[in-house]
Amino acid sequence: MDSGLDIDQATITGFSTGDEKAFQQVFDLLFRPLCFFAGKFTGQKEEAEDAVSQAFHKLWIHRAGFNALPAIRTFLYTTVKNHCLDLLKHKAVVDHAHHNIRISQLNADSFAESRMMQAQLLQVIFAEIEHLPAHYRDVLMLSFVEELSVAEIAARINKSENHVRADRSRGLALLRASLKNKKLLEAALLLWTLYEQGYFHR
Amino acid sequence: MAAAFFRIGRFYFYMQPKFSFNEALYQVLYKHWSGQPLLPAEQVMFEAWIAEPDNAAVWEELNDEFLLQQQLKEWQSYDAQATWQQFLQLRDEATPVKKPFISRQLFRWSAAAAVFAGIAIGSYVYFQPTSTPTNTTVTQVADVLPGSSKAMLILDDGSTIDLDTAHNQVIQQGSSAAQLQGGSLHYQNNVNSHTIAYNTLKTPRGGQFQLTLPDGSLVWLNAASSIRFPTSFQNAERVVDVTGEVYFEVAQNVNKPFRVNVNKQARVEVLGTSFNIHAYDDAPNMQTTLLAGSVKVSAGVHTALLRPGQQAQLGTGNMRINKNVDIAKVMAWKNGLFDFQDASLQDVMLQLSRWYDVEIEFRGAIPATEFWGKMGRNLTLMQVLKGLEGSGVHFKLENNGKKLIVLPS
Repeated sequence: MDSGLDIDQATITGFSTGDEKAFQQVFDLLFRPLCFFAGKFTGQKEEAEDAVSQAFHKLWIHRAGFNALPAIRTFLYTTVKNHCLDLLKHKAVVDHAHHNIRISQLNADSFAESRMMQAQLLQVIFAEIEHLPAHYRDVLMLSFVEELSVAEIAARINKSENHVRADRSRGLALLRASLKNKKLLEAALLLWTLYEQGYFHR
Repeated sequence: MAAAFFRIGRFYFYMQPKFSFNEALYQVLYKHWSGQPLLPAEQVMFEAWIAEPDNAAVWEELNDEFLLQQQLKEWQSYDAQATWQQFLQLRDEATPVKKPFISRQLFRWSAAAAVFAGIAIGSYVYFQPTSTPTNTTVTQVADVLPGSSKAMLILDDGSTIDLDTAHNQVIQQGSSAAQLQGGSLHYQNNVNSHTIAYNTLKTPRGGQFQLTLPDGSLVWLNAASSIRFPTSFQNAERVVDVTGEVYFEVAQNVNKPFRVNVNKQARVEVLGTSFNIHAYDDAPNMQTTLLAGSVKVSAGVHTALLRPGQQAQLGTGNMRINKNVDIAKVMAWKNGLFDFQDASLQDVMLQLSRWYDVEIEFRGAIPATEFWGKMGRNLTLMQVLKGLEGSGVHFKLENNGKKLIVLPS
């Protein structure tokens, strides 16, 4: 059983021999969790995306050395983590002009492991939103992705604000419930299906 | 998760196999999050996990409705298209670009006069292929003179001698003697001494110095560096302690191995040889570069035997051997040069900061500029900044030449 998602072996083989399409599949799969992870260090969207694009660049350089998704994932998270720590270190150097600001590596690592776990869990959780009953899903997506206020959503779907609020809460509760009786492997397959359907694409 | 760790200087090492993803734990957390009952063993695993404050915070974020909404918003905000394009750009730019030829001729620093006829400096800028070098402003204020031969000698009894103001002389301590001559200090081999006295030679920022140890080994100290050594090597081993950046040419003596303790914790065992140690606190990693002979570098569980031309890089928790080192670049400082080959703007600024004793401030984002070329360390700061102008980086010197501000491009 793998952690949330998998890619078929043919894709991995294509990946390591430099097939750009296969490489892009890996990118699409891991892009959001990695950005989210990087964002926990940088606190800043563009820096997080920078860290991730650079990690994928490194992965591209070393692509021939990988033959399984878990190794690719560990490599990417590690690279993003190191990049972010370097970034923070440079900021510290710059801010304090040569006084040694030490980012505790110990804390950084425990922090990184926590956030990596969070990113991977969120990926399974958020993938499930697609499977909610339509109106719950719509309320959630309008609310979080399009960032509409409760009033705006109410106007858009022609319902009362209280109704929208209730649906939003209920949508999240349903989300959890719908994952309840799924084994993780199923969730993984589901995620893969969604991915294939283009849910994670741009 | 508890990790066994130890610290060397500013680096933490940990015995944890590596930063990795715990698959079993992931299964348990997923199970728990979605409300499925945990088995007793899984419950134990969960409790151990959540006892860590970082993990408790994560769990809170995953279970709080409002926070979960925030995370979804953030999740969706990342721009896959833009990041993919950025990746493509990096990949396509990384194919080797022909750089202008720059003379690699080296100069001895002892010829400290104006031997640097040419200044070759350039840069290329990542991510901004359209941006062209624009007018660079170097505000005209007091210039800053380059560093020079400056050092402080601390004797065994704690008294100090300021070597930059002292005249050429013989410094006598008990039965040992050291000759001060220009920017160097030569200890004489003293076989009659019965007590061991330790001296420390320390260079300030903007200083450098050369030292001959009692056994005839030659030592060059870069700015903001130090070496502690006995005035005569009487023990079975020749042991010295260093910080900062130091280059050694060790006199051969098979009966008395030479050992360098770096920042008190890592060590380099020398088997007769020339090597450079770069161990500044504000540098990203510690480097030992071997020019000739053989050395063994060890730090905690890591050890490496270097061959000439190799470099051991001690970073956060790991030791890497770089087999493809630009020796001229590593040794540039000793040869009176700055070598900015492939250096980032931060690296360049760190070097200038140590040599000209200025504080660096980056105003706004740090331009992703990479430099190449060499410059003489005998230039004034203004001359160096003028040389960097071509790269489109803007500078301002403030606070009477004590603070150098890198302006946003």
